Amino acid sequence: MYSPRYIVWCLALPLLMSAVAGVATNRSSADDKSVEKKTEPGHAKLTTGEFEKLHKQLQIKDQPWAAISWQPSITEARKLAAKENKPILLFTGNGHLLACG
Amino acid sequence: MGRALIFSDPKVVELVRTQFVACAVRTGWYLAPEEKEFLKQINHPGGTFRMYACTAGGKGLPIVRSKSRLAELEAVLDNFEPEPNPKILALSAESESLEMRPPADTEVLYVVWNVLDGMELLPLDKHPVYGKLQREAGFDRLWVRKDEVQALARGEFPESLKKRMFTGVHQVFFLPEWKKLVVTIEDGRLSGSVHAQAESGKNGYQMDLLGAVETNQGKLTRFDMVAKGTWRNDQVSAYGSNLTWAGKGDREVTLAVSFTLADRNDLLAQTPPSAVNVPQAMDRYINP
Repeated sequence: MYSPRYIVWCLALPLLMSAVAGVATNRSSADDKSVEKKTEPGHAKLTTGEFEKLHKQLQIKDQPWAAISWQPSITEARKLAAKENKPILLFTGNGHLLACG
Repeated sequence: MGRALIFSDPKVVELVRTQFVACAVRTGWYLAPEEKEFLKQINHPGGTFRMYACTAGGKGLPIVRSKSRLAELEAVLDNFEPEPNPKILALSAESESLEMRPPADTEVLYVVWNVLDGMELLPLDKHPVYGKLQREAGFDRLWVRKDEVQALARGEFPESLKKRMFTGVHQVFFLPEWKKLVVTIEDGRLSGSVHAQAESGKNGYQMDLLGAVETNQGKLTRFDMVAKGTWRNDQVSAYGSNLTWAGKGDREVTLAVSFTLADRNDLLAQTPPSAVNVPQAMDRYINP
């Protein structure tokens, strides 16, 4: 025979455990939220619609200068210029005209 | 640098497109010896950003400052006389081996960015030069190795590509490492986020990533991705990038960056990524 105290303990234990687990879960989720809050200062999530709109907007082929056939080397530019009887327009610098901004 | 100013006039674009052979090279870092010699021959003045005209045979056609770019270029055409059979030395095998082109079997992504919000824009009517520079989209290229394409086809985003993407496009992703980077691919849908913060201060960025990846028999057939979020860097040192302006205000801006699969045979795709400024940088770039 089990004692009444043992029976009460057996019935109460799962409830107690789930309560402890609940507190732990809540705390863990609260901690996660505080981490989230700290590391993600609230920019809006990128939506599919926004992705489509921005991807369309940010296309290099739409830039006016991209309509020009830029030769990637001086030697190739010289060969083409000789073939087509055209002068060469050369853009040079420490940075690349087609790089960055 | 200067693209927004020179090519804002459609007549200039059309004239350059149809009447000239245009060539852009980064002379400040590396140039094949044969091409250096050619620049001497045409009396190229060197230095920082230059627009210069010449003939295929090596005669300089100085650009005389005029009332407009269009007038300057038209004057060059007036002075140009075609040369019969100009002598053009081929590059030596060594020079050819040092050309900074996309290696065989790599794919090229175009990377384009612009500030969406948070930058104090100068009115174009009062500041036609700086106003245009502020609004100019930035552009770079990103190389993707064959084994990385295969990983993408399996639904994996390889570490090497993460590193090249989020440190190699260094104008935008300017920090050497990130705090958090999650990218997943499920059924061709790419999503994730990236967060990087400088140890010493407030500079950094935090962006969401969304996109689509498609492959067919081991070939990349689609790579469309957008990164969007907050960005701040008051230490940016660049040559005309709108991010220089975004940084100057010492404020956080909203930035969007697109990645798009290019046809690797396009001439624009042949320009090396900004991070590949000398031939020796290629190996480090492709194997980060």
